[in-house]
Amino acid sequence: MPVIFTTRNVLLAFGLLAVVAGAFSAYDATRSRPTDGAVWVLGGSKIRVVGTVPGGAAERAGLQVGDIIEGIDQQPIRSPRHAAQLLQSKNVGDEVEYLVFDRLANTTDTTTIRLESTRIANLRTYLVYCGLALIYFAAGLYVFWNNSHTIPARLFFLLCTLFLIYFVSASERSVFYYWSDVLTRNFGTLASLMLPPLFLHFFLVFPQPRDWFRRHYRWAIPLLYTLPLLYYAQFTYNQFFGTTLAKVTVIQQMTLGFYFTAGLASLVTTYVTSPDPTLRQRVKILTIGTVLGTLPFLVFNIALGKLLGREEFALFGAIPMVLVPVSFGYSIARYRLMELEVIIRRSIVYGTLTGITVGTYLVIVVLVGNTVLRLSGQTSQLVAIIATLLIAAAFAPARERIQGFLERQFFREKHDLQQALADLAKAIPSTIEVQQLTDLIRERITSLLHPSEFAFVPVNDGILVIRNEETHTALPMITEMIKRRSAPLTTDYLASELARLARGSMGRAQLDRYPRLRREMRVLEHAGLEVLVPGFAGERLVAVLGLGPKRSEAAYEGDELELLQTVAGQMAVQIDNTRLYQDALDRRQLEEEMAMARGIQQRMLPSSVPVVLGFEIAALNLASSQVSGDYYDFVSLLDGNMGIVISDVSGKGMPASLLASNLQASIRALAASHSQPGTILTAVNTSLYESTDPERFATLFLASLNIERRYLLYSNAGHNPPLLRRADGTCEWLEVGATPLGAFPGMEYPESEIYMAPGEVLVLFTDGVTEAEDHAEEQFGECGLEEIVHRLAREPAGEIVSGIRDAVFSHAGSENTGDDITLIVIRALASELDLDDASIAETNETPGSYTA
Amino acid sequence: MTRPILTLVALGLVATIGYGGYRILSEEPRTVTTASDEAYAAWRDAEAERLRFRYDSAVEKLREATRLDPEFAMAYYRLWTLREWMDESEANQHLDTAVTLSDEVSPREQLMIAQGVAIRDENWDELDRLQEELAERFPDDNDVLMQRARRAWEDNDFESAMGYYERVLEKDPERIDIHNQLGYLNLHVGNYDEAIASLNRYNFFAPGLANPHDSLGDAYRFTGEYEKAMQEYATAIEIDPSFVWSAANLAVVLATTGQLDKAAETLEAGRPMLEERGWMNWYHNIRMSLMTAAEDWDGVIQYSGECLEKAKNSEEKEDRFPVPFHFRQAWAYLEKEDLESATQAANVLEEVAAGYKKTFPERAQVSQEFGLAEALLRSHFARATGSPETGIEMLAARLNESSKSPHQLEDYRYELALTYFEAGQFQNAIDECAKLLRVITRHPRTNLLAAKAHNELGNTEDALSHLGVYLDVMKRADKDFPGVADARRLLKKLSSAS
Repeated sequence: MPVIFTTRNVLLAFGLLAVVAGAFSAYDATRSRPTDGAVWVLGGSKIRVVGTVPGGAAERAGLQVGDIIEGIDQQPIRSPRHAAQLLQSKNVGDEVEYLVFDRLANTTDTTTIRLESTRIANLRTYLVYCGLALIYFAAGLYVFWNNSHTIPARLFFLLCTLFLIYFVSASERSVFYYWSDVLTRNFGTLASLMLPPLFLHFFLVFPQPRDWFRRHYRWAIPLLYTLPLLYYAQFTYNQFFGTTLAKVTVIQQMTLGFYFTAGLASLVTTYVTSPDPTLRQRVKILTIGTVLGTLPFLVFNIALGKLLGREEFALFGAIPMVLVPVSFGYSIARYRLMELEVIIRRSIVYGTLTGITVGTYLVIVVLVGNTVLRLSGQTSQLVAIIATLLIAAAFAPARERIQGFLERQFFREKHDLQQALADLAKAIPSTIEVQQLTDLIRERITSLLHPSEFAFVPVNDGILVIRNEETHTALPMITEMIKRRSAPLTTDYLASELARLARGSMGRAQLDRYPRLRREMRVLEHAGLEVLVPGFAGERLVAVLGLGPKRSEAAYEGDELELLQTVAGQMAVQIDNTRLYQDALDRRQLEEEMAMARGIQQRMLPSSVPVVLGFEIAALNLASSQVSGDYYDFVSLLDGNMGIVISDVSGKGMPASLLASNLQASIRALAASHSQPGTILTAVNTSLYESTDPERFATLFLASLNIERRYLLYSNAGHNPPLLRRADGTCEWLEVGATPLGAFPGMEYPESEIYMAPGEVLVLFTDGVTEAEDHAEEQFGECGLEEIVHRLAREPAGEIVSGIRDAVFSHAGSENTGDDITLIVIRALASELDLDDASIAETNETPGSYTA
Repeated sequence: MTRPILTLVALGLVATIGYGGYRILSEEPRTVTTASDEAYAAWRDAEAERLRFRYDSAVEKLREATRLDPEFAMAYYRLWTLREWMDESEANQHLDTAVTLSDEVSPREQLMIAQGVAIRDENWDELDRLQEELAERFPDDNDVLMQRARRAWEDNDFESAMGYYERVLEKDPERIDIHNQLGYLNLHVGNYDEAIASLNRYNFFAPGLANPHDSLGDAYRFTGEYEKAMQEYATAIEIDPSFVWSAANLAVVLATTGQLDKAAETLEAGRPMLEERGWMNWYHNIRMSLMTAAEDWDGVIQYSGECLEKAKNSEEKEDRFPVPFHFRQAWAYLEKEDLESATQAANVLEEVAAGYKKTFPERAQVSQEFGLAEALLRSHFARATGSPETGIEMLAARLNESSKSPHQLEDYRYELALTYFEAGQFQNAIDECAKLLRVITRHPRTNLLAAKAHNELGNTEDALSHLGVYLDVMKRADKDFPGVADARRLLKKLSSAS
């Protein structure tokens, strides 16, 4: 739908059309065209006189109501249109012969009529009316321009536009047969007929809606608008086929006067009886202005003018009406009146559309009936009646369909609420996806209750949050109220709370709460929401349904709110269940991932530790429930030395495992062509940095062990420094190196060499050893490691590994420390004689062998 | 968003339907086939001119229509129907063109063109067949309705005839000639107010024509408004000096109001036109009525004799049955109380009337008139022979049987009233006079007779009232007009008595 068709634009277009129509009417009123001063019926083939302008040419010539004009200027008249064309060809002042059939005397006679001008006689009075029209329109436009998003402003603009049309077009015309007169007269009459119900309707809902009107809107709205539209239908019929002058009759004027009076009464009653002093203050000027502006109109224009025929006092009634738009404009500008909470009056549109549907139906029936009769040449009244009834019956289904469509647009479907609830109760539990669930509820509630807005208001950390295009606004006060009430919250309730705060003693707490609540209410209003329905899962507020006012503008009834509450509750429970289900799904996925990662990790580890002369090597890798990136490896370097690798890759699960695997492959590939640990680490660092995200890195200790010479050349890339226990019991930590691999580009990794004398023990470990915590969150730490290594220094490497493991478990109080434990113990033997089979430790979970 | 759109769409729909319906209802359906709007407008103008007897102008308009649309078949046909206002060859050419183009027109137009061909070829059987087919297929066609109206009129079904004419008028208000027909029909059925209203309409729509004034003259004459009648006839003559009907009728009215010299003058002025048209019998009748009004019985006897002699040698079959001449002659003899001659004349009249009826069996209306004339004569006979009662019975029965309109029975009702008077039944005479005076309020001799009857009954006031009307009507009568002297004597007598 193109953006151009917004309500604002449409209303502006209507206003523009009204201005054009008014300008045309004013121009037409000042034009001079020839007229005979007789008022004819516009339809049919005969010119039947239904009225004459008082003191006009026709009256002076003796024409009377009921006369039939059979000829003009020696021409037989074929139709009113033909007669109008004949007159249009004449000039003002021409004397034209008329052949007139006098029905009363049953004679035909000729008479001469001197044509007069159609220009409006009392131009000064007309200009006053035009001035009033402009003031009304200007006031309405001003209000609308500044508040076009609010319905009361739109309504006020409509009222003022109709007043424009009424003032400019409704002045009495001397003739109806020129098409411009017909148009203008119809504009004016329609406006004059629609103004009273609109006036009354407006004041039944503004500044405060009437409860009885809200309860009985179903019949009240059609009654308001259908009656004037029927009056207009009668007026239209009289214009074309009637026997009397087409005008708003005395009875009709009285009815319309009643509308105005009732509207005034409603406004005054609201003003007098409202308990809200703020409201009374705001509408005081408006009330006084409207009363002072409308009462003279009722007295001078309606009572004296229309009912008693004393038109000379009309101006006394018209001029004070300027007080109405002026007081409205002032009140709106001063008190921002249109920001008060009012129920949207879109039912005016419904009422008007219903009336137009009925009116169109009647017009179609009459026109088609006349066409059929004319084509068939039938003149019998009975045939005419039967034909009309048949045509009415034929078009009735179409009218009902259109009406049904309108009903569905504006009113909820006639569903049993219980049935609707039952349907939802079945559908909700079987909907697992949250999005699907919200879509289902939106679709059902929207089709059932026709709210203007519908939203799922999220609850973040227990607080409602309203989202608009740019910001998220938390509503803590409203959240608190919702939780306190555990029931739907309406803007009416909030308004009453606000009023209570306003009325109550303004202690410090109140002073703070009032503006906060007001701010939150504005946010709700801006979002177009009127009702908030909480959904609790147990005691927890899970979600809130936000609904705008119904399109029909009726209030949400008790059973509807109950339905909403039930639905919201079901929805909350289902959302909770859905989340749990989702969590379970996520966990399973995670477990599967962990199993795969664990598999990768296990496959990386050497199947067995190498057996080398002069050294005892034992290794251990214990994976935790969350797989980390620990691994160790033994590689053969270019110079034939044995490479010893221990590494801890950042992260957990599959990503860590894959990175570790990648790292292992890189080390192994470089080991085949390099001998220096520092060189290898430098290359690996560069490779890792370029191929992974910055947050992905690995700590790694690489050592090259010259078995014969017992020298260990190493470089430490940010790993836990291995512990070297000397034979004399001192400990060294092998720290020489640089940053972890992959963290920084272009790092150079320095090396250091140590000599491992017989009986010295080198322990390589990952942080799972030293960071294991006890119940007091005390870590095992390096001291703990030192202590156990000291104690077990003379034991075989395998015993040392087991002993460290047990010590860690003992410290942690369980075998599940939450992290992998990886250990390599290398014990320099005294001589080859120390080497025995028992010292070949197989502590890996999976046996393997190393072949140098 | 849909609501404003719905509103606009609904408003647009209402406006469109309203305007479209208004245009549809006010549009007139075309009755002829032409592709050109201008040609159709010219056709309409031509029809309007034709109905106003402005045939030359109608022919020009039709020629223009054929120029604008060379394939306008009906325009060519209509030109042929106005053949009296153009060369015969041109007229025939137009009909031939219409026939050539008749394939492209509606079936109705085809039938009409075919009728033209039948008329040109004098194929009357074919014409009858075509007219029947047209009536059957297009019962609501204006031309068919006009035909039916004429037939109904010929069959004296005046109400039906009016119905058909009114239907045509309703469909086509431009058929202003129908107002004239309706005027005369209303006169026939005695709706005199309606008749005058229709003729006023005719006069309004056809200004500058003599015929409407002549028709109005007739209406006023039949209702006894002699001054208005004379004015209308005079206007007709002024507009069209060759309008011989008005001249003749004016002479009759002048005679009725006692202005015999003027009547004779008017009649003589119109004689050449009557002669030219072959309506001398009418002339003779009016001449004899003037003599009758002047009570110049010898003149009537002589003149009627001359006319009867001429009639014997007439070539026209109808002229050989001069019933009116025989009637006037017999009447004159009765007035002169020459019963023998009157009887002889009456016998001849009977024979001639019987002969007419036999020769023209379809002319029942005329035969009926002759029957009434016979009854009139017999009544006069009865009076003359001193037994008016016989005359009364016979004449009253004939009057009751007659379907003629009241003004057409003027002479007969007067005769009945006179017979009552002579029979001494003055009240009956007054009643009969009243019946006639209800229609022709200012009928002069009836008013005089009524005055005399009232006088006999001693109703001086009524007698004076009737006398006053008589003298007012006859205020311009010739000095020696017989009735006037009579009336003055009675007035003197009544005045002195009151």
